[in-house]
Amino acid sequence: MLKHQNSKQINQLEFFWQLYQLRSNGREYKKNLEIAERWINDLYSSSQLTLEQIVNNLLDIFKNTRLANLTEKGKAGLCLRCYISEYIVSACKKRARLFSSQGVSYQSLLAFVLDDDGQSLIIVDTEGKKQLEIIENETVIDKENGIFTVEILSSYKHSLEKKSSLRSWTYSQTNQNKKIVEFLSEFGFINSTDWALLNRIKKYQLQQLTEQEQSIITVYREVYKRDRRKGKHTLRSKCQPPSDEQLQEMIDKLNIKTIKEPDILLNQLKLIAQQYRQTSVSLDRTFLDQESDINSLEVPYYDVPIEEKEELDISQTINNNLVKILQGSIKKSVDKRIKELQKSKSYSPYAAQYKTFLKAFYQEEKSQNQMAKEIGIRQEKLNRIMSFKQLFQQVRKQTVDDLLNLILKLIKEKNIVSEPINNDYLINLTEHIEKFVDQKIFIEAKAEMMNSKNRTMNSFYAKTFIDYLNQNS
Amino acid sequence: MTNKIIETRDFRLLMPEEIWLEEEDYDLAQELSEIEGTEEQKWQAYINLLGIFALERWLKDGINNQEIQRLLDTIDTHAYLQQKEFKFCLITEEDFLQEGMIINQKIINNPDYVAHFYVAMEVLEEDESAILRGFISYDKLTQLSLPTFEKDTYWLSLDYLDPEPNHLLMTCKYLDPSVIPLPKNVIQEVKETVEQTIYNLSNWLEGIFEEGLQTFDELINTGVMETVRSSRGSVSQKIERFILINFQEREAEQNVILRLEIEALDGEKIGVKVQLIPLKDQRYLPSDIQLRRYSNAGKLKQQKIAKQKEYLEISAFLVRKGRQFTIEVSINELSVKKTFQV
Repeated sequence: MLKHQNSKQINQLEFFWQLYQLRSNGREYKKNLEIAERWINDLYSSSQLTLEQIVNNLLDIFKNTRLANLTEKGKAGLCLRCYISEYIVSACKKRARLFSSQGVSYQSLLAFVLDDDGQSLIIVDTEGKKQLEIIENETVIDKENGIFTVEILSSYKHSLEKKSSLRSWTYSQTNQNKKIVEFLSEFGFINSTDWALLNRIKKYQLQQLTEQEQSIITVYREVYKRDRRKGKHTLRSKCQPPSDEQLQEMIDKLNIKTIKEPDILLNQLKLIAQQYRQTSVSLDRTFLDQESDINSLEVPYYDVPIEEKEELDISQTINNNLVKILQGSIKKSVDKRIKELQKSKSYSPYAAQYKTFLKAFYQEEKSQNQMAKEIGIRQEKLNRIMSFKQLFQQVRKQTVDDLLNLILKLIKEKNIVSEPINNDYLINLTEHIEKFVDQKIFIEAKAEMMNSKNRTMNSFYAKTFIDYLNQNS
Repeated sequence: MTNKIIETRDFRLLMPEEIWLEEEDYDLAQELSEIEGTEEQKWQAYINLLGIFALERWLKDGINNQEIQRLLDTIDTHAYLQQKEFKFCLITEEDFLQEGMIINQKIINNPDYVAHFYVAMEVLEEDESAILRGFISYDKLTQLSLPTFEKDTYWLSLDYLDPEPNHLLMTCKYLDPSVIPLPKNVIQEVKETVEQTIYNLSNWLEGIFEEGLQTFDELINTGVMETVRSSRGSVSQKIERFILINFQEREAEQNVILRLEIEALDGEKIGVKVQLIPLKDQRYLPSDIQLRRYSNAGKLKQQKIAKQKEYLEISAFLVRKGRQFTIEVSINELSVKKTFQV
C-alpha cells in the first residue's frame, strides 16, 4: 500500500520538472529539467502532500517577498512554470478545437505561448510586475521580454479563499493571450463569411454595440435570415453579400438619415463584422455575474473504481479479441457507409465505387486531391463521399462497443460486479477501453491520417484496413 | 461521491464528431421552420431543426436504427428526441467560441421539459455540417450550481460536458433509462388515476353520442354558458359538443367548458378543433389553466396556458382513422383528461 502511494507521489512530481517546449517542426514535447527535478525531489519525494498542497507551497515560496534566498524562489518558480505548461498546452488544444472547422490547429497557437525555454531562473519584483532573471551570486537583471509562464504566475492572486485555481487561471490567461486573440480574429474565420458571422452575433454580444449598430444588425438579420432560410438548396453555398435589393429593403426599414446608400450600409455591416471577430475570439466572461468566476468546473461523479482483479480480466479480454474485433469493425463500418451512400440523394452513384476509392487512399496512398482530379469531381465532394474521418470514428466506435459488449458479458458470467451496473461504472469501463484502444490503435492511425504530406500507411489500423480491402474486392 | 474535472483526451480534441448535413435536411428544416413568430425565432427553429436531424441520424446509426421520435413543440428554443424511454434535449449554437451556452431554466426545472441527456451541437449552416460538442446527463446537470444569466436562463459551460459522445450511446444501448431518474410530473400522476371514458368521434359523425356530452342549446338553456362565448363560425358541416370540466364541486369558479368541433375530411381523417370556455358568470378563464393535447403515444403535442383569456384554443389538427388523442385540462395540481378516438 505504502509503496503504491510513493510511486504515485513520484509520478505526481513529474509535473514539476517537465516543461513543454516546441520543436522546430512546430510539435510540442516535454523536456526534463534537471535542476527542477533534483530540487523538487529533495523537498517532496517523501512527503505525503497532495498535488494541490505542493502547488500552494511552491506559490508561497515564489511569491514570498521577504524571502532572501532568491535562488530558492527562482527554483520554486521554475517548477511552477513546468506545472502550468501542461495546462497552457491543453488550453490551446481546447481553444483550437472550437476553430476546427476553420482549419486552426492547436500547434499554431502554441507558438505564441510556449516561449519559456526553462534555461533561467526568474523571479518577479516586489510589485509583481517586472520579471527578473537570476544570474550569478543571487544577483538579478531585468528580463527585457517577459515570458508567458512567469506572467501567469505573477498575475495569479493566490490566497486561502482562492477564487480560482492556478490551473483555471492558466486556462483563462492562455485564452485571453493577446497574440492568440489577434491570431484567431484574423485566421479563425477563414471559412466563414462576414454575412454568416453577422447572423450569429448573440443577444448578449449585441449589447456591446452602439444603439445604431444594434438597429442595423436587427434589420440586417430580419431581411438576410429570411432570404437565406428560404433559399433554394441548389443555390445554397457560402453566404453571399446582401444584394442591392436586400440592402434597399434594410435601408427603408432602418430609416436613418446618414444611411441612405447601399454602399454605405454595406460598409457599416463589414465594420461590425470585423469588430465582432475580435470580441468573439476573446473569451470575455464579463457578461456573466461575478460569482460564476469561481468556477471549479468539477462535475459530480460517483467513483466506481475498476478493481485490480477485474482489470486483469478485462485487459486479457481486450488483448485476446482486439484484432478480430477491429477487423469486424472495419467490415461493418464500410458496409454501413456503402448503405448510407446508396440511400443518399446526392451521392448514390458513388456507392459502387466506394471500395475502389478506399483502395486508392489506403493502398495506393493517393491524396484526396489527386483522387478528386482523377475522378473528375471537386475535392469537397469527394471528401463528403469518402467521409474518411467519419469512417475512422465509426470504426473506433464499433471497436469500443464490441469490446464493451464482450466485457459486460464477462462481468455477468463471472459475477465480477454484484450490483446492477450503474451509469458511472459503465462510462468508467468505456473510458478504460477507449484509452486502451486509442493507445494501441487509434492515436497512431489518426496521426497518420491527419498528416496530409508524405503520408505513409504503416499503422496497424491502415494495415488491417488494407488486408480487409484485399480480401473483399 | 467525489468530483472530477473532465479531462478531454486528445482524441476528441483533435477529432470532434462531425455529422454532415444533407440536402434533405435543409429542405425539411426550411419547411418546418415556418412557425409563428419573428424572423429570429424562425431562424433559431431552422438551426435547431438542422441540429435535430443531425443528432437523430447519429443516434440511429449508433443504436442500430431504432425508432426515434421528434418532439418539436418548442423548436424555436430547444428540440427533443425520444428513443424508447430515453429523452434527449438538444441545445444548438452556431459557434461555441464563448465556451458555453445559454439554456432555459425550464429544461432543468420543469418536469415537462427535462430530458435524460442534454446534447450540445454546433450547427454550421454555411458549411453544411454539425459538430457534436458534448453532452451531460440530467443527474449530473442538476447537481451543478449554474450561474443565472438573463431572466429564466442559466449559463452552462462547455467544460461541464462529456466531450466523448459515444458514452451517451453506450448508456442508451446497455442500460435502462431508470439509471438516470427524472422527476415525475405530478399532474401526469394524478391524471392517470382518473377513470377514463374514450369518446368515439366516428360515432359522432353517425349521430351517436356518449353520455355527458352537451349541445350548444342545452348549455344556453340551462344557463351554464353565455351566447356570446365561444368563437363559433358556421357549423353546418361540423359537429360540436361540449363537456363540463368539474375540477371541484365546491370551487365552482375553477370549472370550465371544453368545446370540441369536428369535421369529416376525405374519409380517413377528421379535423378537430378544441376550445376552453369559462362558465357564464366568469369573465375570464381561471388564470394559469392549461390546455394540452397528447398524441396517440402519449406525447405532448400542443399546450396553451391562459392568462386573462376569454377563451383558449389549440390550433386545429387532423386525426387519422384508428388513432387516439387526449386532451388534458389542468389547473394547479388538479387535472382532468379526456381521450378521443377516431
